[in-house]
Amino acid sequence: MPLENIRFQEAVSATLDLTRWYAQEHVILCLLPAFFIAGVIAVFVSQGSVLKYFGAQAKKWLAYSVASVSGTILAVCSCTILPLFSSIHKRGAGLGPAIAFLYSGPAINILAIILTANILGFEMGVARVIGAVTFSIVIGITMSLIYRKEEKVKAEEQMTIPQLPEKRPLWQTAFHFFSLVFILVFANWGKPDSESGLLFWIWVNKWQVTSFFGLLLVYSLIKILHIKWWWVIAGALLTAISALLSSSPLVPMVVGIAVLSVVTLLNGGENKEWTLSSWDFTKQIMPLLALGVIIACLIFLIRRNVLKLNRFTGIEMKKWPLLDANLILLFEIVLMMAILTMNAADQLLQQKGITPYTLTGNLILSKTLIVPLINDLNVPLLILIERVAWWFHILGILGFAIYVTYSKHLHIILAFPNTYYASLKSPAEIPGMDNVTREVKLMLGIQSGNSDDTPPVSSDGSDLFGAKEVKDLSWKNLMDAFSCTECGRCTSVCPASITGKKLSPRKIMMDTRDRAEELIRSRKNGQRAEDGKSLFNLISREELYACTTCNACIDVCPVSIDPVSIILQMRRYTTMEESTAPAAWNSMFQNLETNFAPWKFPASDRFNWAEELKRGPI
Amino acid sequence: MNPEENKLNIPVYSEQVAKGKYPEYLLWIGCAGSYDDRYKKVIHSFIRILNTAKIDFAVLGPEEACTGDPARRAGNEFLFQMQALSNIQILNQYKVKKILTSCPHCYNTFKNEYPSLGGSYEVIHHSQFIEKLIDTGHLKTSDQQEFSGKRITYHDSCYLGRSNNIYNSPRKVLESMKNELVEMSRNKADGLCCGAGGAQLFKEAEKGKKEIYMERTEEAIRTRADIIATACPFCLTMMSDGVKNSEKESEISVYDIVELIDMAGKSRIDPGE
Repeated sequence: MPLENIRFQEAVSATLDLTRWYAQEHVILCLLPAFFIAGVIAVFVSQGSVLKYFGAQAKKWLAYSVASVSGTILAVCSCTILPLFSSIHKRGAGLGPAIAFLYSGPAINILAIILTANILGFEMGVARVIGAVTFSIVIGITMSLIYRKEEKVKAEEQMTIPQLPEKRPLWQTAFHFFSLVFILVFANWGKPDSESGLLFWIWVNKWQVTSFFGLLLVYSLIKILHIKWWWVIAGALLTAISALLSSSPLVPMVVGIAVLSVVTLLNGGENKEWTLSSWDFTKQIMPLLALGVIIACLIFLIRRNVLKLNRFTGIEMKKWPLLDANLILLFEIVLMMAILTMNAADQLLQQKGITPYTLTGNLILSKTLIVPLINDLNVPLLILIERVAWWFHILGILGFAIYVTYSKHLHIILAFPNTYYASLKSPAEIPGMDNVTREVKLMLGIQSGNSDDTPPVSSDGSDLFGAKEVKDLSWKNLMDAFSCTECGRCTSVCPASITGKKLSPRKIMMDTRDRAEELIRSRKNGQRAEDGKSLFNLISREELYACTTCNACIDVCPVSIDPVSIILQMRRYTTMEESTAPAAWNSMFQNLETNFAPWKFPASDRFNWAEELKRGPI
Repeated sequence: MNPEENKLNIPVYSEQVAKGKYPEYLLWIGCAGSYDDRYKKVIHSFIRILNTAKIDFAVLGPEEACTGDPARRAGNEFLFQMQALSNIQILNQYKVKKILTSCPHCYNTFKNEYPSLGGSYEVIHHSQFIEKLIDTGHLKTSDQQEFSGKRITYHDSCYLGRSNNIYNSPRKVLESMKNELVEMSRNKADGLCCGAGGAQLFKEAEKGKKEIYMERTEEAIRTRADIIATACPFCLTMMSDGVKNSEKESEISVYDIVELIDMAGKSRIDPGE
């Protein structure tokens, strides 16, 4: 089984390692705490204070300057700032200041600035701050101008919001907020370049420092949020025990976040709201993924149709394969657009208080991308749009699942088993033919050890040498053919294809698949009889004979497809069944049979070289 | 230098066995080494090095025959197995344990294709063997070398590289000399075939825009190397043809790695060592 093979294990573990690195380090240490911080802003920071500094009524210069520099202390990355951005926006901040905050945050976080100044010089550090702040303000103002209509409506709404008294002193909210911020900052403290100084000391002791702020959070939960003290202490103990039992800091972080969620949810009230709102921010990752799919598919469409990458062209890439490739990309874009449209309509219906559109929290992407387009529509139309988008998306997914079985996109399913069952032997090891071995042993008078030395008949009962038709190939050859997504990497490295010969390894795989499908179709139609065709109707001898068996195509294929195997089996057919090998090869065979060398030199001369060499250098 | 000292010692397996001796290595010459005048020089260099390092080896001599590789790749499985089974009979009869060869096609056939037919041997390519000789101090290069300071580019053989994962041994051999090793843009696992594998050497190429060996030679010439180093008789032929057809013979020459290491150590060879 390939499972026991070291190479296979290494390949699997390397793939998982990369995914795991991102999923664990980034999601657990960075993104999850950021969701809770965003939750704090959304729930504990009063709308009044957000409005005071960032709202439509706040002085523009104050709003923009506070927004563009407040990212300094957060020390977050470009992905983590998103939930924070959406939380202040949700709390009533103007779009301009919120965008300024979004853009400057990752660029001016204190660690990034210190590192920039250290490595690139003091001037670059200063330039980074000035650049980030200036650009963020420019972008923020631009955005507020583009959306000035929406912003005006928002400003009018804010006029009517009554100023509520603060629920707790500002220092308490700040204490709670910053204990979380510092957990985030120190848990993600990167290793500095120099092995001395404060930055290095913090890196060495980062888990102790993080734990210290964890203790401050415990204090805050009990004293400021008024959660039952034994719940909090029990949770903290659980976290501490998990830290002691595990070698990875990720475990106590996960336990801590789980405990925090359970404790706040059980406590109810504002604390429950905190965690629920953190969950709302988490949900916004989904639309982000949808947008990612759209962007990726657009890039792929451009590569195929505008840049016309070499490996996407070729004679086998006309007609259906060309259409198929573009259809898949368009299909995926449309499906993602449907999800975003559905969410946008849903958001508007939520705002209008229509049942059953329960509040889901702010879905920022749909809101900025789609809502402006459908903002002015009436409720029945919005419901129609939402329903149509929903059904379109779900039926589209199911339809796409059926489409995949008719398309090269079946790759997404077969790639896994195909890689699993790929041969782990050297690609240059051509499998033998037992029927030939038996016959040759009989001819040479070698005892094979088997008592049943029967005449050559292959194991499946047919007496054919090599492959003429799909049924003569192995099941792995066929799985290879159906796993191919026509990416053309093989053809782009094939020496024959590069130098303009007819052979294209991709075409070999596509032809094999097409012939198999042709046979399946004719069988369905009840035509069991031979249609008089074979693989040779699709794959020409000229293609077969051009292969140098260099195995570059096998090496480059991401899912270990082996076109050379099919080529060699078909060569076996032409050579052994038909005796139609190229004339030069037939002479070579003849030489081998008579002289035991591929050239026309007598076997008796074979050892002449030794005497020649002994006479001295040639 | 005394010409007697320079004379090659080429023991033959059957004679050794008749004396009751079983040499440690079988040196497999291959068809190119037996019949191709250019490649005989490579064999000359290899045997000189084996003699100097006092390696216990022997050749099959008149009993050697093609491994069958080109027949198998051209689809003639009968002919391949005829060759393979006859060769295995001889090898097993002489109780051969280790096979040394300079041909990657022979190497691949012995290593990967003979075991399932009853012939299991430890197979060593000359690049690996010379690397080991250098590592163990059995082979030293002299301070004054013919190729000092020259640029060398190494062309990977498909059957050595992609098929058997030998990328570093030939490079280490080249790095042991005082040369500058430069890589072509397609190298190691991405290396471009010379165009001779898969029995292509024995027929004209199919119609196309260009010969494969020209594509590869032009790539080698673009590195501005003085020498193209190969580790395969087929590659040596194809790259030499490429240089000839590009009319660059005065600027760039093609050698097997064993010739280069032999020339690099020429002034040092001390038979008494």
